[in-house]
Amino acid sequence: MQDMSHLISIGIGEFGVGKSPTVLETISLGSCVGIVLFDPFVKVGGLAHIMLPESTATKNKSNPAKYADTALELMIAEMVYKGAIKERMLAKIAGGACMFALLNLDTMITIGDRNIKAVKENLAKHKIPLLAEDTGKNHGRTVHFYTETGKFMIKSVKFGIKEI
Amino acid sequence: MPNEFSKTQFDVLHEVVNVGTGHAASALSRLIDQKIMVRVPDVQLVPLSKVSEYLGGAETAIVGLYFKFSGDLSGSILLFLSEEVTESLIEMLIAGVDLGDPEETENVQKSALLELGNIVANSYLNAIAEMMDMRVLISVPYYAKDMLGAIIDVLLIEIAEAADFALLLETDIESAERKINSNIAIFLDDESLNKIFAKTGLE
Repeated sequence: MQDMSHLISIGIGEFGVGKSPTVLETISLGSCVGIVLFDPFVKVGGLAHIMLPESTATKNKSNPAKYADTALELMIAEMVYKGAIKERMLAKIAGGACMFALLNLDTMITIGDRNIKAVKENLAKHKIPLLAEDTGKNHGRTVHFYTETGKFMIKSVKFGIKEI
Repeated sequence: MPNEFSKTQFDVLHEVVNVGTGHAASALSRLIDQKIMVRVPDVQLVPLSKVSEYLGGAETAIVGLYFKFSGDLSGSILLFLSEEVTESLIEMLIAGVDLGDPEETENVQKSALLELGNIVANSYLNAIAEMMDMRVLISVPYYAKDMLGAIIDVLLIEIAEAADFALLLETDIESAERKINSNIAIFLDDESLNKIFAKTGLE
């Protein structure tokens, strides 16, 4: 049983940053994508739970953390503030599922795919390598990132726990 | 989406949900031949990050039946049931069905649930539309069986494009004899809300 005494739980449309031994958690990612960034030298990690691909597509700018593009920018800045160096950052992602069995194609039902694509594009834009992903399919995921060890654990109802 | 609604606006929404739920409960009652009780519906403005918690916890395992609707009113409606409730309902709907093949049996069970969802959602929405002298078109049901948080994601994302609060219109439907708790959450977009308020003399 891992030490959860430094647990930060991140809600939908939020992000959080912590230093070792912080554990970052976000629960039941559906079509949303959980983005983990990590600087392994100083053990500073961040987790963002994004809902939508890009902030420019809408007029509602009140919560930038819910968009892949602005959430990443804010999270990178926060991590740098806590001692991380952008050039050392590595990424892992999870989520972007299509929760409902498709009966017809609907742009809202494929939001998971669009979120994954936007996250990858933005990571590439920031030149942050994507080390691993557990994305797509049609099940919910709860994730935990351990800044002390760099472990990224993914839990789902159907498939139990896996590490990527 | 405004950050607040007046008391009168909340009362109107209460009434709308009351009407919808009443009809949905009657339909369910006829379908499973049981008496149904309806708890007083709840109308709340909830921040998106708190919605899962509010509806029973993000990691709760549920079966969700999701419908989109459009026309004079647009939005989505989610009917959700716990796993035990799903088993009870299936038992009531298609008692004793066993086709030998587990996959086939599961398909029949899923069909029965989809049909139940269809009937409940249609009764709910049509009752509201009639009350407002409006028309709505309802999609086929979308089915998911997983954690509550993951299932309502799609709904929350829909809202997130324009707002950071969800107007949750939520009700509990219970059977007296068996535990058939189910929740119905409905989301209406801004235009639909304005139409409802305009109809009832409020803006």
